[in-house]
Amino acid sequence: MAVCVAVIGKDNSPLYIGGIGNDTSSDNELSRQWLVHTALDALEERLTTANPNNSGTNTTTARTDLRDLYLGLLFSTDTHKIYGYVTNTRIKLVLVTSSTSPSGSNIRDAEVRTALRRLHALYADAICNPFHLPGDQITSPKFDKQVKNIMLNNV
Amino acid sequence: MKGVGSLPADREGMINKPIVTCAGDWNLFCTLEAPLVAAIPQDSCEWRRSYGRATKSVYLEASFIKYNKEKLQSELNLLKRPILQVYWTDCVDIEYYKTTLREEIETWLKQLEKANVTDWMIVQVETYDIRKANKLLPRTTVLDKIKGDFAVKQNEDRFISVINPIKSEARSAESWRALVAKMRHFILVAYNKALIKFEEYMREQREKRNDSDWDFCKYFILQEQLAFVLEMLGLYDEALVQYDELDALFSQFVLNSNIAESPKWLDTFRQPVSSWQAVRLTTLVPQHLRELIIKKRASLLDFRSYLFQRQSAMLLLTFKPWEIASRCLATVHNSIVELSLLGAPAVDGASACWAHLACAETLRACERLAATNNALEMCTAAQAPLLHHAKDKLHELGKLCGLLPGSPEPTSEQLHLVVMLSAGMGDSEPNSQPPTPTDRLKEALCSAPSFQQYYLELAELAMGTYKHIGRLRFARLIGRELASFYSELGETSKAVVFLMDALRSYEEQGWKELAAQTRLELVSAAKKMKDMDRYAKLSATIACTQELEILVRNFYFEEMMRTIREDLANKTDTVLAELNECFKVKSVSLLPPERGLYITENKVQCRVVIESFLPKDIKCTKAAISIELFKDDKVAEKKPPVKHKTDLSVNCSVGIQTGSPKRNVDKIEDAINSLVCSLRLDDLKPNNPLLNPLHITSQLHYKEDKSLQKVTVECHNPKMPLRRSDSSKYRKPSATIRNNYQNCFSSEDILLKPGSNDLILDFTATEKGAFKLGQISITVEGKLEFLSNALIGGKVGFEVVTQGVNVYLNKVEPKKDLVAGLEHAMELVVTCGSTRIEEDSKISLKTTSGLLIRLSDEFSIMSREVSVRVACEPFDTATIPLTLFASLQPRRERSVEHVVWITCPWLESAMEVPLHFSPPMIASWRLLTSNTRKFVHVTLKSTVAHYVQFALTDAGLQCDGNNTVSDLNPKKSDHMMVASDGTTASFMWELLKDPLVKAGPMKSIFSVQYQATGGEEPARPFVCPFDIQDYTTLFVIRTRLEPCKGSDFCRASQMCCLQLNVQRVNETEHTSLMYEVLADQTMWAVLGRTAGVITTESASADPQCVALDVMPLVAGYLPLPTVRLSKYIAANAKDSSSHPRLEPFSPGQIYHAGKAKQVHVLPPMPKEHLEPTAN
Repeated sequence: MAVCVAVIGKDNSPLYIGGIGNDTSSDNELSRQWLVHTALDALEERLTTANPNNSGTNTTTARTDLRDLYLGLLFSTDTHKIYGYVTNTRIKLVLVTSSTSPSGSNIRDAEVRTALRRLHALYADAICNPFHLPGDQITSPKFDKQVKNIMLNNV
Repeated sequence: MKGVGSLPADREGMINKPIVTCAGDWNLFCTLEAPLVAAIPQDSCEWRRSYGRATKSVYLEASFIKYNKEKLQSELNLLKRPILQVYWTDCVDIEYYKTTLREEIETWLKQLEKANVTDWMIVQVETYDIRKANKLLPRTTVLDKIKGDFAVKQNEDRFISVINPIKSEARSAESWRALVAKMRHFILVAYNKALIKFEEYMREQREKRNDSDWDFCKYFILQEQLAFVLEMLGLYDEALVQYDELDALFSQFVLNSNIAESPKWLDTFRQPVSSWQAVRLTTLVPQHLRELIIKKRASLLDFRSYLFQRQSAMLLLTFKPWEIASRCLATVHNSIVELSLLGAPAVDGASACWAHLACAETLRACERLAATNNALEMCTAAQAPLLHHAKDKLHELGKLCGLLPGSPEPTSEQLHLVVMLSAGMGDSEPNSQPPTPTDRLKEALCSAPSFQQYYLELAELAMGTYKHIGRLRFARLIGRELASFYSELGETSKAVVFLMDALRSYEEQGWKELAAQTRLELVSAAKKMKDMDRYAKLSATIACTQELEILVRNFYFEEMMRTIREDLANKTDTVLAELNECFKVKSVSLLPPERGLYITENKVQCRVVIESFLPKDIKCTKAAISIELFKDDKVAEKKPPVKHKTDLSVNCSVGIQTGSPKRNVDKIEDAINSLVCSLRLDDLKPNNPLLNPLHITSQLHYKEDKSLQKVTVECHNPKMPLRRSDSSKYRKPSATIRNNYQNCFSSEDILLKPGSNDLILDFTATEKGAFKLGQISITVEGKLEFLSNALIGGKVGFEVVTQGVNVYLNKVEPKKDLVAGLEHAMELVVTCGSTRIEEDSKISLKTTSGLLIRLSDEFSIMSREVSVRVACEPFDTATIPLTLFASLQPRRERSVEHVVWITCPWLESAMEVPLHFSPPMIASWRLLTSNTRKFVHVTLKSTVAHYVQFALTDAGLQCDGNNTVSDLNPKKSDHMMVASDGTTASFMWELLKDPLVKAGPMKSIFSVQYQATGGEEPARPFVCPFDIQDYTTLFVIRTRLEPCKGSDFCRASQMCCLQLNVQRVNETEHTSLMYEVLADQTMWAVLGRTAGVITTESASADPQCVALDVMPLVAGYLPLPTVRLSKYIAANAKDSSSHPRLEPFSPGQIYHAGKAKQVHVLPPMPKEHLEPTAN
């Protein structure tokens, strides 16, 4: 389903970036990192427009329900779609799907939402580890395995 | 809808109008057509719809055609099909109606009924006749007749009479308005019906979509009719929904075709793409594309263009240009994905051309619309991604056509491609403002300069727009792309600016891999610019970047080494680089000094554990840590008091540090407080507030009835853990400045291995003071110097002291007191510290009088001054044994104080060492009297704190004048001992005095020879002088107790008589005496006077007697009451103010003979004895 999943900290530094898929010259781990990185711009834009204090004229496009952590499609390119999700502690989860793969192009919004919710749960589990320092990169192999599972699950 | 009236220009695109047929009198209708067409759109009509859809207010238009019964059947075409049938007549003649008209109407209605048409109207046009109106009872009209013949309950209102407005405008207004309203109403009712039917049909068709012979194009045209109708009715948003549904349906088909079997109709869209014209964002229906779709000759791009244009048209009509902008990208992305999914053959670059043009056109449309309105801001947000995409696509085209800078001249294939692409774009719209995006793209593809100009224009604009809307990451991404573009153009310096900006932001936010990638780009830019300093530094950093492949790292490691060898070799200065990027300081610690202190001229060592990230071993030519003077205001202000004297404790361990008298305890403490001697990596990091324990307590809350209400967990200081952490990270202010390395720990030629390295750096302190470590510098291969931040500064430090010569005068046996009169072994200890004492140096010692000193060898003699030769290597200690003797003075003092002055050549003034001696023993004496005989009793005891024992010999007492003493001591007193454990020695002499000579004051001297037992010292005399005064006995007091008269014994509680007898035994001038009876009140009660004055005759020696009544209170052997005798000096008669006074005698002058006497007192008389006499 997804080709890349990233957990990004409050300070916008990556805590975890996991990707699967065959690397080509134009589509590889690095190029996906650029996508995730630039997605932060779109994500932050959503968060500020969702803020009732600076409600613009396009409030209809802003998140109507603030409790919904899923932000939807952040932006897309010719080859990828980037979805966002933000936790209440401003941990950002970004999911990248490939439009060129059959599984990625056919994905529904609800599936992405579910996947991101599951990712959120996994993240919460991972940082429950008493030896994990909040703000540090997530190096847990278990987390990595489970995230990769999410990415592959819907293939 | 609202926008309709206000935007007449946009209405041009609308070509479809509801069709109303006119049957009956066509000529009559022709006269009415113009006002009717004009009247219908003038007002809105409420459209009530079935299925609970929202009621809308709709403006209508209509076009009228002549009734044709052949065309009734085209039910499925919503647009071409007449929606309302109207029968017009102006017949007023009932007869005519009956004969002709009725039949005609009937035929018409039958035809309608046959075609299942229920939407019709019959209009009778009347000419206003004032005469008729005046008639009270109007006759039955033709309309009534028609109604009567054809009307049923449901359609009564479909028969309308109207007054011809052409003939009498004034009167007709009301009826005319009613007609128009009715007509609108019936059109809508008709549409409602038609749409319900149509939608049903449409659904049916859609359900069949999986049938093999189903055709999307057909269905598309079918559903589009609905969109047209909705558009016609002004319901643009609903029309848009129709198009969106079609869009989604198509997308789904294409996506599914990838997984499942692809339907046959999809092959239509697999046909080669031959045209990639720019989309035209107007409200007009692009008929040529529609034709292509109908004819199934539309390529995917044609179809997509058409759909997008229609969707945009709806959005333009509802005035949402930003929506177009945001949809544009999605459409472009989708289309390109679909193109590849379907595998439609196209010229390379066709899709890029199309995408670029779509974006550019959308941008142009947005600009056009937003310029006149205030939607600019909202469009801007959507414009940036469009610009970005347009730029990307242009880049793609440039790459295909060989227009990118740095690429070789375009080949003939590439030139051919340009021609192909330009042809496919077609011509720009004839009536639009040049230059259109098509023109610009064509121009750009023609030559490299124009391409570059266009590309840069788009890129700069995209970047600027991104910056404007706050998407800085996107802006930097474009910056990177621009950098590579500029770099290819040869304007590397421009590229570096963009890359540095990007690099900094990636580093700040911890995107290491992106930073590494950017660095790789920077390094190649540096190479191009021949900036070898930067190249070497970047190569080093890249070689240390763990995110990169080891091969890349190794390559850049070798590049770094090569650059240092070849390009930096002839530089005089080192190239400065950041230490943090290639090394990590894990810990810094000062090795503890050998002597507990860091001393000048001595080596101070510092251990640095440093982690090298370089992939290979590297030779560090010099590693250094700069040293700075540690300045602490508190310490600086405190001038330590100069001390030359040190208070000596009792045990006389003298400690004076010469040379560093300024060493101050406070200063050391301060320095210790602020300086640490070791630092680990963790200390360098700021504390993680998340690791601090939360102060949480549990609280029990009770209700009024003391039952538990709730239990809470409370955090006492929630502000601390909940505080927002500072999001602005530490930013290095500027390039690290090289510290002064004049004073530094250093070490040379060390091999640094990848990973942890343990370095020991040396520093020889030349000055004293407090120092801190500043900056770490690691120079690699002599030319590349890595400098750390001043992170470790301010914390790690050490204090260097100058340890001078110390001279101590110590006891050899420190636990023993110094005793005067005995020889003591002492030693002079000289510790050199860091200085050398020359061979000829002399230390001279001087003593106070009574204290003698000598060197402890056999030849030396005791003197009050001695000089000692000292020679000593640094950090050695010289010990010179000395012997000290304090002579005993014939004084009775508890302690003897002496001072030794030590004069050293390196000291300006002499050191004073006070010494405290205690005497070996103390003598005390008492005078004892027996009547007129006198004895002297001398006691010796020792008060030395430690155990010491003396053997005493040759005790003697010498008196002055004509007094002699008789020795009462044993003749053989060799074993007389006195010791400090409490053993005392006593001696006794009787004073032999000539009784005829009047005794004056007498001086006597006690002397004895003492010798410490166990010692080898000779016996020395101990002398103690004392004076004896008034020792002659003058009076003797005798007391006697007599029982009262009539009894033989003294009994308790019975009166007795105390006889007091005072006898003068020697001559004295004191004749007036006062006696006082001092009786113990528990034993004696003195009755009457206890004191009195007696006068003795100086001539006679007769005793004076006094009798006193006393009563013993208890029985037993009682000591007699004591009597005190004092000199009584009567008051001077001449001086009235004077009083008589008493003066005591010296103890030896009065002898109390009965002092130790006791008297036996019997118990009181038994009572039985008395009873008979009482009876």
